[in-house]
Order: sequence, then structure tokens, then C-alpha cells
Amino acid sequence: MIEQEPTDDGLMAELAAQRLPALGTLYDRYGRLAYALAYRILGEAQAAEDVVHDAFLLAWRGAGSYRRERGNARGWLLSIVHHRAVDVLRRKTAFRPAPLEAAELRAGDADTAEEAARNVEHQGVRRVLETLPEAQRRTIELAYFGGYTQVELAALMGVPLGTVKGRMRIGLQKMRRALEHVP
Amino acid sequence: MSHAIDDLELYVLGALPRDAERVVADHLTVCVECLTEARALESTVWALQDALPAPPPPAALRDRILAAADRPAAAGLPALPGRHVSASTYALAAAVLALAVLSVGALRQVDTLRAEIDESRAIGLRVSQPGKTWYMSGIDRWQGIGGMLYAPQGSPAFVVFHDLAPAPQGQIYTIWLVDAEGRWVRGSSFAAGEGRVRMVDVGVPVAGFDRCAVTLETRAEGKREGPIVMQSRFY
Ligand SMILES: [Zn+2]
Repeated sequence: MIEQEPTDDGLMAELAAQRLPALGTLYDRYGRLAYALAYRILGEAQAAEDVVHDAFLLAWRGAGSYRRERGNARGWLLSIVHHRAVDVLRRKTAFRPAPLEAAELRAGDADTAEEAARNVEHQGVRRVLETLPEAQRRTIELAYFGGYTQVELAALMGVPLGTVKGRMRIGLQKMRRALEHVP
Repeated sequence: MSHAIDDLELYVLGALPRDAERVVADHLTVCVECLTEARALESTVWALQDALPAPPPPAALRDRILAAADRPAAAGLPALPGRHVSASTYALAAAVLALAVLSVGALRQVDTLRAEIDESRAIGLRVSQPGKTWYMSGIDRWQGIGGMLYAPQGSPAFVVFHDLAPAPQGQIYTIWLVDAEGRWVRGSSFAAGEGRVRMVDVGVPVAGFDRCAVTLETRAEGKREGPIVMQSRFY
């Protein structure tokens, strides 16, 4: 859009200096991903919009506390979105997200050509997930998208605490290895 | 310095309680070894984000954010969390509810559901307290059912059971605590009714015991006679 796209680090420096256009650029870069994450966790458009709104404002006001060595801008921003969405989710009792397949069904309602292209693009990642044994995949999904803690997962899945951790560890290791081969 | 390696998977997936999460986050500021591993795990977790199908955000959201940022800090928005905000109390409640919903689908009556939400909320509040836990898994023909005994600091212990069918006519489930010498001490008895998940008070203090079990008994008192339905492992 502009002559030169700033790096994420440059963007964060601009943000810390409270230059508003940098916030717009950050949104252009990660707004869609942030919304997808919030939507996936909350399963509802309005709540997801509010979470993304608040997360970007938090990023705007907290940019001064961002430290490159703690993680990059994307990780930092998305962790704010994740935390905020999970906190909202945990305050509600009436809704908990279904496994990934349900989200795919929901997303189908709003399908566009762009969306379809994006889905193809990310099929590799989902294939990786699908290669995991059901128990590992569900543990990872319920933790990350469901906002469940280890103790809650143990109770929910009827397994000891150590098993929850073990499934996460092995599942993430498998994902990491498999992702090395995904283009 | 004790490392955080053991908790990093839980950490990157957000599955630690917020206070434990803060401990890990603090450790990562001073330990390159753990930080390196955490970063590697994080990039794997990002792949989960990439796998997300979702509708695009509403077009007006960008303007809404920029307009809000352009105003002086408004009240109502909490300060930026280090990596966390408040502790969860209702998560298990929702987990329990989700389990119930999964099990019965759309047939569940609304009032039953509401009652379960209320009960789940009570469970969630109690489970959120710090304390020790023992998991009992069903054995023999009771495989697949189980119960988590929670012994919160300073308040009575209780068990959250899942998938427990009502006791057969004339029998009752009985909770037992077992000490290091293999002595069985009787806790409370119950019949278990409808609902996939239920909470039962243990009925006796758990201090001094290192195992627990549930049996099916025909009498509400006396020695253990019936078969073991589930038991914890020896720790
Ligand atoms: Zn360390």
C-alpha cells in the first residue's frame, strides 16, 4: 500500500511512539488472524469483534512494554487476543467451542472466494492436526481454543493430570516435526 | 534455579491457571534455555492459528479501533496484562456442561440444563481452589468412568465423578480412603442419579491417606464387602 512496508519491529517502535497510522498497519497485517482466533475461541461474531477491538487498544496502550526478545510482534499481539478471548470465555458458562470441524462448518456460512483460497492454503496445517491421535488433538484444541486448564482437561477427559501434559507434549512434538515438511 | 521446561506445553497452550502462568512468564525473562524452547513451541502453536477457518472481520472494525485509539484512554478497559488477567472459576463449570451437552445432544430439556449449569458453577468455584487432587479410574466393567478427588486447602474434600451410572437397585456407591498400611476408612455413600457429572463430598478428612477408591456396597456402614468400581493409583 505504501512505498515501503515497515518490519514488525519498526511497526512496534512506531506504535510505542503512539503514531496512529502504525496501529492501522498492525491491523492490516494481523487483524484478520486476530479475529479468526477470537472467533474460533468464542464462536460468535460480536464477542470476537469486541475482543479484537480491546486487544488492539491494549496493544496500542501497552506497546511501550513490548520486548522483542520475549517474542515477536505477531506472537505478542495474538497472545493478547488469546488471553482476552479466553477470559471472556471463562466468564461465560453457556458456550464452549466444539472441535475444529464445527468451526469449519460455521465458517462455511461466510464462504467467499478469498476464504476458499485461504482454506486451501491452510489445509496442510489441518492435515498435520488430523494425523495426530484423537486424544492428543482434542487435548491441544480444547486447551488452546477451549481455554481449559490442565486440571479442567483432566476432569473433562477423565484422565490424570500427567496424561494431559503428556498428550500435549507428544502432540506438539509431532506437529512440530510434521510442520517442518509443510510448505 | 528450577526450570519451567515441564510446564512449557501447558504454558504455550494457555492451559496453566493464570497464577502459575505468571510464574513461568517470569522465569522466561531470566532463562534463555527455557525461553528458546518456549519460542519453538509457540511457533508450533501459531500453526493452530493458521488452521483457523473463520469469516473475515467486519469492515468497520478497523475504523472502530483507530477511532477508539485516537481518544484519550477510556475507562472500562483493563490494563495490559503481563500474560494474564484474572483467575478462572467457571471454566470447569462450562467443561462439565459441555460434557453433558455432548452426551445428550439437542434432546436435553432446558430446565435440566439450567440446573446443571448451576451445579457446574458450584463445582467450578470449588475446583478453582488450590489443593491436592487424586484421580480414580474405573476398573473391570467400570472402565471409562472415573472421578477426581479434590482436597482444597482448608475446606472439605469432594469428588467430581463422570459417566457414573445410577447404582443398581439395593446398592450404593461408597467412597473409601486408604492409608499407607492398607487400612480402608469409609467415607460417604450415594446412589448417583441422572446426569453425566456429579459432585459428592468425601465425608471424612483426607489427611494421612494416600489412596482413594469407590466400591459398590449393599450396606451404608461397616467394612468393605463390595467390588471396587474405581481407585486412584498409589503416589
Ligand atoms: Zn529455565
